[in-house]
Amino acid sequence: METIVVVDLGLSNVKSVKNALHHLGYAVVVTNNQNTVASSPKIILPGVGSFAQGAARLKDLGLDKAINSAANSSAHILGICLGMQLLASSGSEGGKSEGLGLIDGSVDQLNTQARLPHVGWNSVEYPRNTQVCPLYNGIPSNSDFYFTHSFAITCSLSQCITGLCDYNGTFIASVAKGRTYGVQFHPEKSQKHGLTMLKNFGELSTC
Amino acid sequence: MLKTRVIPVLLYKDNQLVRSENFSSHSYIGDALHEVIRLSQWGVDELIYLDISSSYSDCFARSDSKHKLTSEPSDLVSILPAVSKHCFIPLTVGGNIRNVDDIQRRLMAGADKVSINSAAFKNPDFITRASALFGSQCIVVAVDAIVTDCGFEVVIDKGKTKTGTMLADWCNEIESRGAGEILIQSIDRDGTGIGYDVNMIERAMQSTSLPVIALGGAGKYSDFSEAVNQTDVSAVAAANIFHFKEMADRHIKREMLNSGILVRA
Repeated sequence: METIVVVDLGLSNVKSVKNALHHLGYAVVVTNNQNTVASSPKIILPGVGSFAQGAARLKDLGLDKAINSAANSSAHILGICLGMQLLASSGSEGGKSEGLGLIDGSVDQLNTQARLPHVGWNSVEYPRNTQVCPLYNGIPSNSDFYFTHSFAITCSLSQCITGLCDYNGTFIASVAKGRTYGVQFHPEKSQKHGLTMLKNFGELSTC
Repeated sequence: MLKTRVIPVLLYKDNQLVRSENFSSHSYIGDALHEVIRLSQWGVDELIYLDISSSYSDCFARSDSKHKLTSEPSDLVSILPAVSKHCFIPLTVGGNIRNVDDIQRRLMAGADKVSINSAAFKNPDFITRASALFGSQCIVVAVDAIVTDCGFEVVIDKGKTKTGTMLADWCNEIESRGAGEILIQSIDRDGTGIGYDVNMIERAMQSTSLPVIALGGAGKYSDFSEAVNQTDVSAVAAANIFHFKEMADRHIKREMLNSGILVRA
């Protein structure tokens, strides 16, 4: 099994992601080194905190270029929570900033009357009439995953949407474009289904 | 739709798991690491781990001491790496957290969220700083309260010091300072098993738009559904029932489902 690189922006508990990957038997490298990230075939970008903070960290560490370079070299990339949001073109949290631009869309506060942040287990429904994203192999539609966020991505292209969630209003739970994937929830904290998803990511062929 | 969460609370004191009653008596109930492994494989939704050991620094160190304290013998943080390795549901750690370094240590050791209480009350700026540094999602503010003639009064220092501040006002301030969630605990109901203080929970729910976790008093499986049905509280937490009743999570969730509450299967 190949090594998975987990990008450390210094903004989240990367240990949880690392623990989950180790539990599944993967070797893990936690790093913020540009070269390591740029040359890795499999990258996870976790994150907790504001979009502006995350975007600034990516830029300061040169990881915006590194991740884009990896994407151009056909690496598989999985963004988790803030990591997913940073895949977008831009975000408004903490002031308007630019994201990685790997997924066409912007990140704004959840449009809901319900309590924020959106914290807890909520179900992810796969869009109809589209093929189920390979990250969800073996996971039935409407399974629960753990969310904790107040912002979410809106995509210009509906074909990028791989999962939807309802919190007094529908929002995008997961996206995919080519080999770039993003999930708003935390698979490393979503017990059985989360571990299955991480395993599916690990098993994606890098050919 | 979002499910209502069911959360066991483990109380850790001097290397052991204990139960508590009215915040005063504590008796040994089991091995700290083993219980986390057992519970995280159940259908519970999160775990809260509270360190109620007397702080090492309360006993020995002067703030101007040149002698640096290294490891604390009854330090929950030291077992966190082992605890978090087996825990694939969110883990909140609280107790004896006084500053951002304490938070950092716990997050680095494997906690997903931290719960801060007295230190936050004594210096509310701590909440603002912590949320800015680590993200609101990581910061739970715990509020312990008692029933008085005037309403619900906030108590700090592990139940020892009345503050004169009312629950609603403090919840308001917690929210304005950027915390992610509020954990509200009834000191009067702690360990009694007579049910949650739904009036107290209701008061908390009215005074904040943050998610609220209720704790204190659960004794029967139906106590959980009663609290949720009467207050719409975001999460119900309990300590003792999970340690003394087998498959408590299944019974609790079945009761909740039967009374129309959405829970994770």
